Amino acid sequence: MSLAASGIGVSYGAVTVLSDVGFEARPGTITGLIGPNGTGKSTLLKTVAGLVPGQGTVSLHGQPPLPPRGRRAAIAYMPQDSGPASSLTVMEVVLLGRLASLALTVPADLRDRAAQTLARFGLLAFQGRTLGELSGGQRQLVYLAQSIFRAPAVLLLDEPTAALDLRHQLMVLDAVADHCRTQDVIVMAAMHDLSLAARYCGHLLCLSQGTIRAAGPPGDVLTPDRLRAVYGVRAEIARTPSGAIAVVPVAAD
Amino acid sequence: MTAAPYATRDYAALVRRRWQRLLAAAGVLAVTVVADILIGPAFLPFRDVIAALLLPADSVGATVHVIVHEIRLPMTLMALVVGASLGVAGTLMQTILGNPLASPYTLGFSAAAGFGAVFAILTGWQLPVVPRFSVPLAACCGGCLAALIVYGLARMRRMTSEVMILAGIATLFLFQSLQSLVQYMAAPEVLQEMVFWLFGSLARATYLSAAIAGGIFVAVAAVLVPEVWRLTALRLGDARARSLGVAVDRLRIKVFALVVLLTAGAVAFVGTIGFVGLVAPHIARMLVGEDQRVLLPMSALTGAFVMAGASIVSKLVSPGAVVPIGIVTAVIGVPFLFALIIRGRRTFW
Repeated sequence: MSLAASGIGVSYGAVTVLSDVGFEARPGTITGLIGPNGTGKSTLLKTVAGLVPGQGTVSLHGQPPLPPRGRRAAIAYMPQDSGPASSLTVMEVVLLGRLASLALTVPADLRDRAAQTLARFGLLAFQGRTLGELSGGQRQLVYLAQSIFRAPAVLLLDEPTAALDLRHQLMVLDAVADHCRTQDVIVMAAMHDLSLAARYCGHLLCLSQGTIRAAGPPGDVLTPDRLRAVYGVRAEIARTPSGAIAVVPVAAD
Repeated sequence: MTAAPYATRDYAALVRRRWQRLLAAAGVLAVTVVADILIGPAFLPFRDVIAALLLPADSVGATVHVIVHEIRLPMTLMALVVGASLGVAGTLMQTILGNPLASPYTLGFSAAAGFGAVFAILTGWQLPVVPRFSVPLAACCGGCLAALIVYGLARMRRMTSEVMILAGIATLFLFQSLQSLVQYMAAPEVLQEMVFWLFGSLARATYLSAAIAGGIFVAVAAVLVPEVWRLTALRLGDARARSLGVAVDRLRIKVFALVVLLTAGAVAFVGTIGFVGLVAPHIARMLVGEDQRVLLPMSALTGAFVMAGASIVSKLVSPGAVVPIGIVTAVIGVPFLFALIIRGRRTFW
């Protein structure tokens, strides 16, 4: 039971963005995708989700490789931007997660489940507000609620905490980790905060210049030498009293 | 979850409120339509008009019957159909392009239709069997030509909203220039006919032309019904709509073609009508939000309301005469556009 990708390659004209990328992501734990800006994290997630054309294969649970259309149906991808400030209400945005189930009337049970999802993110009081009335961080929460409401087999999150304050970062990642664990969903998340990545992800993929440089548990992937080679920074890797890994950047090379 | 039923009720109440507003808008439109039929340059007594509408033909004078049934009713019907078509076309354009200023008018379809019409008038081109449809058909062809240019340019890059808007604005300037060129070349008496067409007027309306434009509107509406949620998803941006499973480019092309049909059907018979396609969607959006299940019918109602209202104003401005409605819609539309710019997009866009 896993998401397996192999030979993923993407080029824009003469520029190669991803080259022969392969990985395996398992359900029940978050697979973190780390790496510097412009290294192809978003492109990799979009390609796996079938939203960007590329080479290679993606298969789910050991089945034959899925075509892009099949991937779009089974895999939910949440972009990193907070989207336009439209006048759609929070409830409508979450309902759109089940686009295929929506008709001219919205079934009552679907509305109930959407409300439950909103409640889980503390968004119930906002359900009648428009996206334009929310902050970027709140919008990000709404989109996460939408992705989870979609109940996909695979959830790909592109920097889900990018626009959030500390409290909301923990709130979002706790919800994602809980969903991943209880629903046995495969979750991959591109992340910039390496300490958060170490805390929430059971497995890390380190991407650099379009290829996977390292893969494994956070303790194995996050080493001072690797961070210097990949990010061009000197960093200390510390252990907090609770045993969590903390990455402390010291200086850029 | 104890909170869920509350939320469900709350959302259900929101949806119910929107449908109530839709019904209220239909009521306001009905009153406006009645007023439009009652008012006219002939200053017929209201009771005569009502009698002509409700009683057999021989119960009222022949003049009254002709004015009501052959002039006012076709004009009002045409105002409703054209307003509804342009309102829906404007909403669709704003939705697929994600831009509050998109409309069939601002993207050059109307200018191209105008060019088709003035070219037919200049050359005196006539359809063999139904010569009275020559100018409307030429206007339709002009609108379709503009759509092909915009589509072709966008296709060369990608069907993104930015490319389509730029291509549309370039098309607008192209056909406005061509219109001016044709008018420059025309003899004075031909020029007068061209200018009258370009003003936009309901005076050319007949039951047949209203039925054709109405038929196009109904056909387009039927095609749109299964697409309402996908169109709603487009308002989240292309990336998010794609991630929800919407084939964004294909939907954009399909809706674009429907907009061309609606616009061509509307302006072919009445001439260039500006601002209805821009203003009506914004009024509708302010009233019912972005859910296209309600927004599209509301846009049809607000578009029809603006046209029927403009029709009334066009008959009141100059006693005994009917000012071309295209002038009135622009005069009403421009201040609204100013207000829109001043208020900014945060409130309802």
